[in-house]
Amino acid sequence: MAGAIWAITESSDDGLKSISFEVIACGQALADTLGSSLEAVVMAADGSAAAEALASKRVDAVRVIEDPALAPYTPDAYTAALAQAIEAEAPSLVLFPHTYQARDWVPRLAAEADAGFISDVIAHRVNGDETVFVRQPYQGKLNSDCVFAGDGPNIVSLQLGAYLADDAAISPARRVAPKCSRRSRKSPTGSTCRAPT
Amino acid sequence: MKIAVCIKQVPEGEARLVIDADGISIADADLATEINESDQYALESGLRLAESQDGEVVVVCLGPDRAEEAIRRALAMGAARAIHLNDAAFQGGDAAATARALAAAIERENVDLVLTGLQSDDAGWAQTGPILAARLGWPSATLIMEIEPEGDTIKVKRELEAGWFQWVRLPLPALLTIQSGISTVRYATLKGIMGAKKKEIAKVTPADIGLAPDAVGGAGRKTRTTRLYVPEKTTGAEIIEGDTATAVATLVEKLQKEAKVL
Repeated sequence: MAGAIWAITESSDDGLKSISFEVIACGQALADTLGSSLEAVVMAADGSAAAEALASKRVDAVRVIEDPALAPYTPDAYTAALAQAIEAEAPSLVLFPHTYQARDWVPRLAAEADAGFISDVIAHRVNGDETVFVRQPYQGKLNSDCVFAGDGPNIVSLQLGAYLADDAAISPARRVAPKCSRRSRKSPTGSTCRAPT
Repeated sequence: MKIAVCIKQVPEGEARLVIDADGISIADADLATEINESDQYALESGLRLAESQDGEVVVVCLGPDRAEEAIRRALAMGAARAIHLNDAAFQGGDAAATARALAAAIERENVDLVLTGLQSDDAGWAQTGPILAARLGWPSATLIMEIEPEGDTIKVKRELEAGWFQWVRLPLPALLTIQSGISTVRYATLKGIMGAKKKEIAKVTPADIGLAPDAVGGAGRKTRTTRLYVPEKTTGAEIIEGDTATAVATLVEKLQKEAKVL
């Protein structure tokens, strides 16, 4: 797989939500199988605490998209910031938690980035060159296997509890130190920075 | 206020689902259908707004011939007229392809507000509404529980997680996705049912709304369903051994990590 896999984290006033580690666990499994690099992504007005919480996890980088416009949450600011980052960095796959907040803005992001979007995924498997994502349509009465029709950018959102936060492996050898550049003025677009790998 | 309400015809909640020979869809034969539940609440919200704001509701539906039954019901409930995106080229699309078609149809209507359900009871993507808003270039808000028009803006109550709510104000035109259960959906009266027979249903093809056939439906999708199947059911019981403290700890771990109910 060409570009990196991005695991988009989500925070509340109490800090990083545990669902973020479920997304990282899925990202680690996919990255291992596909031979991709994995980046944890923080979107915030001040991402330092979330980045610190992610530093010990086994990821290749912690990418912080930091902008005053990202607090409080609005779908427009989040969409603009991540669409800009996706266009600049071309990740192969962008993983989200299927939270209420993600449902509010990620479809707009998919439209903005002209991306394929498979939502509310419960599992995945890799068949040769194809990654299959499993969903539960018909209100969970049936399962369906879904694949992307194009090369990307492609987006997946993960059902809460489908992957285990405890499975997000740590990297005992090193901590990933994000390097952030902050924008002081309010802007509808995001600034990005990444840690040296 | 002119309001477009997007509805989808889906299998009834108790309908027996038979997987079609194509392996990726539900067989149409003898399939009991209804208007998608959250779309019914979107329709009810639209009708109430139209009644209080001296407006009208235009129903927009993408679906095959049989979807006319759902459209007639919406008209019987009080919608003024309907647009039915009904062409073989529209079929087999994902949320992106469906939203592209709906946007092209709604752009021609000069509406102030679009309402959709939160998500469909069949595909359940929870994507079509916000993608449609992005295609129209309009603001959107999801999981809406209350709507208060305020001049050329609209104030809405959103449901958040963990029992929280949020009030948001959006400029019009805008799109809202409506949560189920927020009101009492009206029944179609006999007079409404009779009147619906005379109301206009405009049948629309891709060419009518300026789209190439390969931009919509199966040809325009960005994702593909390769198999639809009944999930494997696992049965059996497990005896957890050990003293009470150990057994409880093991049980809690299994409930968290295997059953995922805690």
